[in-house]
Amino acid sequence: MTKESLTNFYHDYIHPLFRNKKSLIGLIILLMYILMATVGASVVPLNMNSNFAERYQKPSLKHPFGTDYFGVDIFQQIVHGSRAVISLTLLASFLAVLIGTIVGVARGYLEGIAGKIIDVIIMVFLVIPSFPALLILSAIFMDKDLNVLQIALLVAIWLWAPLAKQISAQVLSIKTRDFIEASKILNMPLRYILFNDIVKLLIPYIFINFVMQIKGAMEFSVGLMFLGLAKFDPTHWGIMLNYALYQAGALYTTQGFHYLFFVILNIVLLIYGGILLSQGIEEIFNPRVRGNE
Amino acid sequence: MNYVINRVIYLLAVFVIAVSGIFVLVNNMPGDPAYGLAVSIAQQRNMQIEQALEIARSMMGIDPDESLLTRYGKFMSNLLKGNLGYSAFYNTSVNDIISKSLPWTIFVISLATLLSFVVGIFLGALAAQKRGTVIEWIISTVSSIIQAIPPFILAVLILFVFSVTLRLLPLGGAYPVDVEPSFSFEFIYKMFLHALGPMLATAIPQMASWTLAMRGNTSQVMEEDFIRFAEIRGLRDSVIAKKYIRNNAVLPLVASLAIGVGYMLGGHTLVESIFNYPGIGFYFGKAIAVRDFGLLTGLFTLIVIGVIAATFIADFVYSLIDPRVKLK
Amino acid sequence: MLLKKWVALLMVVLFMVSVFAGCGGGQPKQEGPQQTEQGKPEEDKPGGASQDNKQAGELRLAADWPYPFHGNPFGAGGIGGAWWFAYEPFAYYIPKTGEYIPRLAESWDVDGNKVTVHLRKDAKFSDGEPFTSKDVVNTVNFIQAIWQWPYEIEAVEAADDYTVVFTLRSTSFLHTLLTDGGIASLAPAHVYGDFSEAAKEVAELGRQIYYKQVEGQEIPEDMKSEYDEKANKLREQINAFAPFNKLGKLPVVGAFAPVKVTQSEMALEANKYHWTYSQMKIHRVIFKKWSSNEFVWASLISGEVDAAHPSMPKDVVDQLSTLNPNLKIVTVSDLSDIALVFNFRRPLFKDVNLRKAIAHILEKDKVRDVSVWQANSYGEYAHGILKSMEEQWVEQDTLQKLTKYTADVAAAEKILLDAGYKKQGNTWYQPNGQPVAFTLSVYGPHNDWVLAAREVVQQLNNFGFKVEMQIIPEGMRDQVMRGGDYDAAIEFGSAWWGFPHPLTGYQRLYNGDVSKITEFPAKEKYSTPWGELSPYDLTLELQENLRNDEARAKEIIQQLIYITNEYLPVIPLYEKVLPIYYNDGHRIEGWPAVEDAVWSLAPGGIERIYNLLIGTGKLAPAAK
Repeated sequence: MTKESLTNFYHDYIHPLFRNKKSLIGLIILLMYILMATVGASVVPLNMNSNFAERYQKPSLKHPFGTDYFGVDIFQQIVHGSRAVISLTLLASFLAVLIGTIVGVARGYLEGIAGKIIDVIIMVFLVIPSFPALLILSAIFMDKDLNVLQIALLVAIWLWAPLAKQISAQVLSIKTRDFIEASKILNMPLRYILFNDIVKLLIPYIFINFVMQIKGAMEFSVGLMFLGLAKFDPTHWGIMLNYALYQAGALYTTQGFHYLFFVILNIVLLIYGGILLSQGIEEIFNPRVRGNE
Repeated sequence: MNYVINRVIYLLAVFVIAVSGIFVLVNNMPGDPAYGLAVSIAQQRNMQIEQALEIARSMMGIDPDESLLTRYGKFMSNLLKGNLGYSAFYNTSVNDIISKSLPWTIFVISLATLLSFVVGIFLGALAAQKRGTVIEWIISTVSSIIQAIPPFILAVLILFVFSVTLRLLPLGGAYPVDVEPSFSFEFIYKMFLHALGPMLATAIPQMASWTLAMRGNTSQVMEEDFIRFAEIRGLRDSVIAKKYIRNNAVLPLVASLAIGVGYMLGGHTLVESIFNYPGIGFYFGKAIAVRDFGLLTGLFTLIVIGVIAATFIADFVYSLIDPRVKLK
Repeated sequence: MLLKKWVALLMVVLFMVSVFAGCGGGQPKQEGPQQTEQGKPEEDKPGGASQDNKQAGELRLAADWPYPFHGNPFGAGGIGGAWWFAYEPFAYYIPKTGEYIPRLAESWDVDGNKVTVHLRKDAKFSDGEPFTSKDVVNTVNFIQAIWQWPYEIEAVEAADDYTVVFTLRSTSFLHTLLTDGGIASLAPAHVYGDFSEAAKEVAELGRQIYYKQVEGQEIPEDMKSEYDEKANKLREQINAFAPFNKLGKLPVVGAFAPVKVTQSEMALEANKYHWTYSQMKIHRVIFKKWSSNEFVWASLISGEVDAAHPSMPKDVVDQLSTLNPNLKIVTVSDLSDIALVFNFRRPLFKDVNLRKAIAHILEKDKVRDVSVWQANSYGEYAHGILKSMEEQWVEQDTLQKLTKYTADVAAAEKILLDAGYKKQGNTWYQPNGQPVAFTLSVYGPHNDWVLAAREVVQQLNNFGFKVEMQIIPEGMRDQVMRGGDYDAAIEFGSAWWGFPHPLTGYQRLYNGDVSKITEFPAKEKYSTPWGELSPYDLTLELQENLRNDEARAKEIIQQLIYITNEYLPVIPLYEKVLPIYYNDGHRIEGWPAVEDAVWSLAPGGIERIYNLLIGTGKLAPAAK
């Protein structure tokens, strides 16, 4: 890419994000968590030694989020757990969007039998209930010692299909538009038509979907931790939530309330950041939706 | 007509591939189907697991030597006869389990869908019309936050608040054992009370997404040319709002309504397990946990049938109500 | 406009769905005296006097059972939590006092391998039929035919209507024979009569095949295929028969019979013909589905359940007691301990020095605090005798000989350094230069184990080992453990279920469940003050001498204690206890004192306690 196209890209896609209130807040929230995941662990030390006498301490300067059932600082755990949560979530959403886009564009472009076959494949993944299927798949691969990328792929397999269906519909409708016909008449190569015309129109759409996938990927990743697909990681938010809810019974004790609260708060806030960003993007690139601000 | 035949062939292909895929997946799942049963026998009967496992194996009559292909053949031929298989853990046919559990799931899901759809449409339209006001801000912010809460967390919170702390709702079950199923007021009242928890846990996240979708659609429709035209024609605002905007904004949602019901069949597992509600989701969770492969395959198949049927109906209904879409 | 249409549609759908659900979700209609009897008062509107009446004499518990309910004790899942209420063993055994409480048997004589059981003459089934030796013989045939268990019974004969003679293969089965709920009364002859002959035939064949197998003989093909054919046919017939579906009731000899079952609740009615009926003050038992521990916590707080035994963190218990002051707790030994078990297929753990060092590193009480705070502490030993049974079985003399594993990092370091291990930086290295690194597996659904594992991992990592934790997913425990697909794990160590005796525990460790998963070399000889001994041989010898030579049995037990403590096939962390919570005075009163020995009957069938307390008239509706 040339420098010029980069500046164009910035003006077309990045700059508006800072102008829209929703996307700005969403970006700030997400950046905060990304920061937490990247440099947080080196700034905040982690002391996992349990201290049963100091369990369930209320939030204080020493323990910003209080301590948990084991008497371990919750804030430290959230920071150290964010890396696993965010890397898996982002990776899985990215892969889902990648697969969904490729399959969707391919379907939109291919006619005849090939298109029909892709249709059937998309539909198969749509009709199989995803979470139970993921559970079974994870049980099958459980003893294979998977790395993050492989786990993310397992998650992404069950997330891409709705996106592919939507994109194929979009491509089909774009395809009939005049300027694509014009490129065809001008005898431009297929590759060029695909990427320059169609993908350009789809970029905001894909962008929105990427952020929206965060919700699904996050829920799946939390669910997977319950099942032990990956090596057990005590600071993973899913595990912390499981501890708080089921092992420590934090709901059933008044002094344990903050334990559950801060874990849920972080999970919800991260997803909320994603939702805000996606709403913002939608308003920017689809001005009809825009509210008066 | 040609379209319908094409469509049927297409969905049939999807069905066969999906069900075969599920069959292979489920049957490759590691884990011993007899183990779950053995644990309960050992605890109940005061014996060592080893011995209980042997009893469990002979109770379930598992034949480990049967090849996958033979089992697949059996499963498919049973499926043709409308028989979804046999549950080793429950010692009964999958059809029996479904006939006892599916009504409850349908009951809760249809209640939840209707409630969330009606309220969601209303709130979404309201938000779109009151653009830029506090009302819009509240509706969209609250909906977005609800969307950010994973549904199972919401379910746990609802259970805790309404059933444990406030004790307004019963803890689990579909109706109390000492009330005979009948058309008596008491039974119907109790049945609703028991369904309320899982219903809310299903409906609230749905409501949020309907609201946001409706708000988006309404705003979009309001910009369409025919609305401008209607305004120019001098029609009253309320007429425009109801007849033109709302109806046109709702149409695309109706199509997703049917599909949504199909998906909920599969996604209801966690909610029903948390509320201990005896629908198919509950059995789904149990089947995974105890490795009841027969039950698992049967329930998957049921859900796939449900989603495919919903998709088919949605396509059809949509083509009927939206004059712009014609069956090709 | 549109909204109105939706509302109308909603009403229609609601109506249709409720009709649908009402018909489909209900029980199959059953006709029987109990139905009409109990149907009446419940049609009254709830509230006021009738509500109190209804609850009089009702005990509410939590349990699990298969639904759709087939009521077939031989089918998968059986009759669930109703088991001990519906079926009776010959006797109950109270571990704390060593006393047998006669149930279906009045008395029994043991003569070598022959056990003669004299049945009580006033036992009757809930349909009024008398219970006789025919029913016992029939039941033994059925369970041998369908469960392929217990082949320890070589023959069973009815000497007269109230005398049954068993011929056993091994006297160590005596305890199970007397106390197992499945041996005496599962298949009443007057209900299962049509299948008696077939069952007898299959049982006979099964025994023959089994004995041939044990003796290492070839089994003829035609015998095998004949057995398979007949056994499968019988199983199919019995599954199809399921009396609860066919007859609409379950004739049982026990004090309560299931009469109505839904997925979430089960109602049991008292057996009018039970020998304790006249003393009962409680005539109805309601089970709530035990779907999860949290669910049971909630039911205990709200008083919806009168008694249950979920594991509960300390803070939750404190909270519950303030929310519901009626709630009382008693803790009894579960007759098992939770232990750190090693996979001896891994060379790392073959070194006893490493195991000893680990035993010194672990602060077991800290593990107990986070895991199950009520559990019994194991103190300094790892001898394989349950803590609550220590005084009874471990001689003072033996105790002197044992290594004390105090939590002592310096001691652990010394052992390792002496054995050639080295510490570089924060990590310990084996003599071969590899770091001391392994994963600790733990079964996810067992909350308390996960908590214990987390603490153990933490302590070992602090010491300088590299330990990671892995959760075994639900349903996978057996496969992972039996397949040896782990390094170290949290598991049941000694467990005295069945026959509460050191033999049971040591059999587990050296020739049973635990040795199968750890592959501890039990057949090797280990040096002891008594010379070179193999624990495997010792358990076999103990089994033989149990009743013949008590002095020798005592001695063997001391030797096994020594080997277990010094060679650490497992490191026990704490003795598991069952915390029993009960609502005293809310609906029910008359619970026995906390120190009452009857509570020790809880492991492996807590319903026996409730049954006993109801049958003796102790539990009664609370006076308000």
